[in-house]
Amino acid sequence: MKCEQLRELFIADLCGEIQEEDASRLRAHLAECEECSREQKEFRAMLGLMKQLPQRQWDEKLRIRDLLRRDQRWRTVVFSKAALWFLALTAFITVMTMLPLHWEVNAQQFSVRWGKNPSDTMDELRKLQVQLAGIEKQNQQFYQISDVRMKQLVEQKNIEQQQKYWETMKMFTNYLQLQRQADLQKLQHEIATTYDRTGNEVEKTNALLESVLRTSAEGDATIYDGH
Amino acid sequence: MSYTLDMKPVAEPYVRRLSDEELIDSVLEGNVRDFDVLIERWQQPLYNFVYRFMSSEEESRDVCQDAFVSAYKNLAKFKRQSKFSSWLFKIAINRSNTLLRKRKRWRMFFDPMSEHAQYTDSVAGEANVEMSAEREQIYSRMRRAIAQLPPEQKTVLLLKEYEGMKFHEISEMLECPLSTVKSRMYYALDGLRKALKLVEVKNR
Repeated sequence: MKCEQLRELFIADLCGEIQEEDASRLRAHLAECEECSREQKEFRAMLGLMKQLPQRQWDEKLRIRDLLRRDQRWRTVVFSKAALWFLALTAFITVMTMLPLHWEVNAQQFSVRWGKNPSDTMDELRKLQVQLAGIEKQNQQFYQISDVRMKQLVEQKNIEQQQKYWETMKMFTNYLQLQRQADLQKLQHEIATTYDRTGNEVEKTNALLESVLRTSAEGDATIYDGH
Repeated sequence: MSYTLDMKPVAEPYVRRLSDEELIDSVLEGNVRDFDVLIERWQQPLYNFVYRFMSSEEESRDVCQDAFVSAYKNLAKFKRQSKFSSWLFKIAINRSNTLLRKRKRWRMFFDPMSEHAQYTDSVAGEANVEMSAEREQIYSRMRRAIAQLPPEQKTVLLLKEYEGMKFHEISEMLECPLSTVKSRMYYALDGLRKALKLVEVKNR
C-alpha cells in the first residue's frame, strides 16, 4: 500500500526529478522495503540499456517542395488503399455478373457445370426412346389387327357386322387418337422442360416423336380411307 | 529522388545558425526554402523517435514526411508557447497513433494470430556467440519489448528517455495531469520488465 503511494516519488527519483525533501522520505522507504529497492535496481538497469540502443540513420535529404508535391490531393486519392479496394471490388462484381451471362450463351456448358449429370440425362432419354418405340409398335399392331379383321368381314360379306365393326372402330380410333395425342404432348412437354439443354439426343427424340405422330395420323387415315 | 539543376542549394550558411523561431518567422515571410533547414535539423531525431514508436521503417518514414508537411501547412497556427520540436513531435505522435490503430484493426480482421507471433521469435542461441552478436540480440529484444507497450505509455517513455523532456513538459504536451504521466512511466517500465523477463524465460 505504501509502495503505491510513493510510486510518483519513485519514478521522479528514477528520472532525476525529485525534490530534496521527498528524497529522504523515499530513501527511508527503500531502506526498509526490499521489493522496491530491487525494482529500482532493475529499472535503472533497463533505462541504462535503453540509452545504449543505437540510433537509426535516415540519409535521404528531404525538401518541403518535394514533400508537398508528393502530398498533392489527387495523388493521395488515386494511389490510396481505398482506391485499390474500389477497383478490385468493381472488377469482382463485373466478373461475377458477366460469367453467368457467358455460360447462358453456351447453354451446353451451363448445364454441364450446374445442371444434371449428363450421363444420367442420356440414360433417361434412351429409356424414353424405347418407350416411344413401344408406342409406335403398339399402334402399328393395332392397325394391322384392325385391317385383318376388316378384311375378314369383307370376305364374309357380312354387311351388318361390317357396319357395327366400322362404328366401334371409328369411336375406338378417335378415343385412341386423342389419348395418344395427349400422351405424346405430355412427353413432348416433359422433354422440352427437362432435357432442354443437353444437345444431340433431344433432336433424335424429337424426330422419333414426330415420326410417331405422323405414322399414327397415317394409320388413322388408312382406316378411314380404306373403308 | 533526383534534382534538376535550376534548384539552388537549400540554404546559405548563415540561415543554418538561426534558431527555430527565427526560421519559422522567415518561412512565414515567404522564404519557403528555410523550412528545409528545419527539416534537416529535426529529421533525424524525429525519425529515431517515430521508429522506436512504430518499429517499422517504411511507416515511420511516412509518418515523418506527413508530420513535416502538416507542420508546414499549419505553421501560421503554431502558437509560440512551446518549442517547435515538441509541436512537431506531437503531430508525429498523433499521426502514428492513428496509423497504429489502423494497423491493429487490420490485424484483428485479417491476421488475428500475428499479435501473439510477434514476440515469440527468439534468436537461435549458439554456445559461443561473439560479443557483438550477443549485444545485437539484446538490443533487438529491447526494441521488441518497447514496441509491444501500449502507445500512451510508449509515448511517455520515449519522450522522457530519448528526448530528455521533463515530466511537466510532457504533461503539457500530451495535455494530461502530471500524476498520469508519472504512472504511465511506471507502467511502461513495469511492462518492459515483464516483456524482457518473458523473452528470457523463453530463450532458456
